Amino acid sequence: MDIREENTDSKLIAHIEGEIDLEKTDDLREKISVIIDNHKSIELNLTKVTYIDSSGVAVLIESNQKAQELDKELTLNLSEAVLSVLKMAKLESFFKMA
Amino acid sequence: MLTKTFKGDKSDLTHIRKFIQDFLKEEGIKEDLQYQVILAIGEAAMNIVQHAYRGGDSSKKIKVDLSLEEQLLLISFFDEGIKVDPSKIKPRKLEDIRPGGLGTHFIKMVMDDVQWGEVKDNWVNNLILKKKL
Repeated sequence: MDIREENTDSKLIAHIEGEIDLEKTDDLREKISVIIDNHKSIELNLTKVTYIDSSGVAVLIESNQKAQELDKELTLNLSEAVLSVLKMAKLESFFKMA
Repeated sequence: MLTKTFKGDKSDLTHIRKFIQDFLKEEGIKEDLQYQVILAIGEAAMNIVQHAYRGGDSSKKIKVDLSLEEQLLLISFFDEGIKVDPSKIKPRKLEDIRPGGLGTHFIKMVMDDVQWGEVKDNWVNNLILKKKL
């Protein structure tokens, strides 16, 4: 899994690629948390994520909750793989989409 | 039947998924169904690492048996971790949105049958997942 940050005029885009599973989620949680602390508007670009398990979904839920608590805007841009898992968890409307 | 043994650690979760994916590809299973099965299998393997091995123990093993006969996919996991009490495994309610508790939901949603089998030798738990393909 790779994370690349792109600063635009309106928001920070975190481009996340590869597979998100239990082995990667500690690192992902920490990096997204720092991004939320340092930026007002954030997009998580997950369009190149090929696999996400429930531990990865948990990181997305935690990140969304943290952003709400800090009054930050967090949006997601999803791959079909991620969208299908969020639909299975009935979470597709829980997140704000980019 | 195919059998492979992995480390009881999160570093081998990707290898367990690859093992299953290669098998499903070889059997000509369509991609969206492959993805669902791999998700369920990945969750089952993650549960073993997280709970039976309390976050992972690379000195312990996870054995995976795979077979497909008359379109019935059978995946059997063996581990040597803490004995699982199946009565305590419950998915969370989906409307109760919080981190965690989704893995069991995914497994039950994808697979047709989830059972705990009898164990022998040094194995402690045997989780058997079945799906008609």
